[in-house]
Amino acid sequence: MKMTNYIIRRLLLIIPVLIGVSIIIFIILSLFSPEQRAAVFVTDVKQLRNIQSVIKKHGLDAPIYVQYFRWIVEVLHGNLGWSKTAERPVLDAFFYFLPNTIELGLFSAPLIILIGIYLGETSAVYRDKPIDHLSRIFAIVGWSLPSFWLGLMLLMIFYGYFSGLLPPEALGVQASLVVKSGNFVRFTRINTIDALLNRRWWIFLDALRHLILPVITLTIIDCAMVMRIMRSSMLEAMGKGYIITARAKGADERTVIKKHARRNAMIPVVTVSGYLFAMLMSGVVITETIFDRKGLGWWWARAAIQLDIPAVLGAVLFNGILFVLTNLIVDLLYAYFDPRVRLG
Amino acid sequence: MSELLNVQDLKTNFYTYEGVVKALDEVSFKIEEGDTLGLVGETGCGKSVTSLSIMRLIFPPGKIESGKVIFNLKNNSKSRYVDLLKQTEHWMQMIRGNEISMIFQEPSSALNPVYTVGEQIAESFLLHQKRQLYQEAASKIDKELTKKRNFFIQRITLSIEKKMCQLALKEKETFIFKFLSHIPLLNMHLHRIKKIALDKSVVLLRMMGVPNPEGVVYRYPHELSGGMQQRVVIAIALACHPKLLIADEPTSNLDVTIQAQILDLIKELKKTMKASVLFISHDLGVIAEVCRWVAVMYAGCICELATVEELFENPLHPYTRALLRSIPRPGIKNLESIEGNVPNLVNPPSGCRFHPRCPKAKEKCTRVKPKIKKVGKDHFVACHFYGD
Repeated sequence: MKMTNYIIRRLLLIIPVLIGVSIIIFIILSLFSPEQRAAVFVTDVKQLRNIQSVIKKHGLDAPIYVQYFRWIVEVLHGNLGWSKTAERPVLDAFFYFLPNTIELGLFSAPLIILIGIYLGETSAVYRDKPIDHLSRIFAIVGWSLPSFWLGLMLLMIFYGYFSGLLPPEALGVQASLVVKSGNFVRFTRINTIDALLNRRWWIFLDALRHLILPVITLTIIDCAMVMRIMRSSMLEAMGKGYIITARAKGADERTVIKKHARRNAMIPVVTVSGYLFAMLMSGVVITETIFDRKGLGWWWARAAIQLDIPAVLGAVLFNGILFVLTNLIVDLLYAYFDPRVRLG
Repeated sequence: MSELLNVQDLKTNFYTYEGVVKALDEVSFKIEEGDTLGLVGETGCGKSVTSLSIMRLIFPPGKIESGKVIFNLKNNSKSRYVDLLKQTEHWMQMIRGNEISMIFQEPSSALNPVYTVGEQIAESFLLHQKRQLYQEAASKIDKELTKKRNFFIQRITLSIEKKMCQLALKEKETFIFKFLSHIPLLNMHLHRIKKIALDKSVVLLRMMGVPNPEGVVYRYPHELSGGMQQRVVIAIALACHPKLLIADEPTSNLDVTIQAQILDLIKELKKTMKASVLFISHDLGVIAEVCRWVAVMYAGCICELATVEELFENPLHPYTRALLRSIPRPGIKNLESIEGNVPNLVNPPSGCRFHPRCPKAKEKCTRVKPKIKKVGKDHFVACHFYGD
């Protein structure tokens, strides 16, 4: 009962966060003059001559707080506006782009976290041995490589040099034709899962083939962070008194590491993993753009460049909700991993 | 009485960036069966390193260089002497916690914060007494099977459990057994032996004087007070009835009242469990209370070894004398202190390690390291001025 109360209280926290974030966005918007903001709605020269009517039509000359409340009322009615980059309402566009992002996150997040934890643990256990140096080099290299460079290099090698072995985009031409056709039921709109549910194995393999490169890019870059944190917290745990107690009890090295040290070392990794997961879900702009996967990051990058304000506002709202939720989940996991933490 | 532990010329070094720290330099002492030896000395003189070296728990950059740790594995009143330093790591794991165990200084850090007290005590049983646990489990299952009001499914699960217990008892844990133990429904015997081990830890905690042990086993260490935590640490150490208990400053981080309780507990348990104790402390008062023998350590060497009465009445080594003079007593207003500082063990003084601070030091002391010599009935000193 205490737990549900806690969760409800934390969920209610979303509201002030969203209000705060949207106010900040509107303050930034108010820095533009009405004419500048009207430019967003202009489509031809005739409208440009008649810019005052555009401003009138969209109420851009009203005080900024009036505009803000107008927007809030619209949002409460479930209307987030029209995204011109996606050429559909923002909410529809969001659900149109979300599956691709989820798919990428679904495949890369477990890989990043598991590989990071494994590398960090081994390098802590074999401290100052060759394997430790190797994984630290890997971490430093991954940490410092820009994702656009790594992504382009991988594309150059596996798409260019090996002529189309691992292509960009989310699906091949043939597969996407089948997916869009009538006799392919789109349960989740996530390609790999739908292909499995439809029992079209070749589509599943095709989708996987398109996933490999972006997943590798994200893994190499992001697993460095998890690895570093796991390594340092594992080293800290290995030096604690309870490790000597466990050894004095007669526990073998395996039990000491896997049972006593790891569970303690995992606690900080949980925080980072939650943050990482939120980052992956809110769209990995560069990776999605390079590999031309039409996900949230791809859309928002375009929206930001083309001043698609409703889409950007939608992105901000979504990120606000996402981060509050992930923080909540991280806190719950924290209480599970560390009995000293009490919620409430 | 036969000898239980005989440490001979134990040498342990730590290879740090500053240089080689010669933490132990030819430490030798004996512990008779059922006896209590106190190890006393200043901070950093190598008391803890001695205990960890006996347990072979010295990890890089530390290394046990030479010496012998001869332990008597008595079986049916037949002595069997083994040198612990020559055994394999796996063999040592069977000894640790089973024949020799250890109590630590800081109870709050010696307990793993993420496991319950019960789980941590039960681990000792699960590590060393699996056979007994399986036997108990098998007899319990037999009892339950004889009950008539069993459902059909219950009967099946019980017989599966019994088969697994028999498999475990028949031979050592084979690969097939381990594999089967990971399959749900087939691994119920693991839950059963865990439950039995937990029941055993309840009994043990009650023996330690913990109130409401049935509830305490489900508590996490941070929910207990310091005294209770130390009782849990002692329970972990004594779970498998070790022959030698090494208590590394078990009371130095506790309140005085709790200190007295813990000391009484250790004395009482020593009697009931017939264990020998190596009691490490910097507090001569505590040592006098608990021990029969005392060894005084200075900078990695033992300088004097005697029974408690002998040492307090007739201290011979200049360091011991200075140490005794620096204890506050009623009637003495000005306490004496020992001139100088504890030497840096990277470059220990040549000859006798105490000579730079010794008021009596002669030229010979700077050159020759004194051997420990018998000077009385129960009295050994390492000093050039005594013996011969």
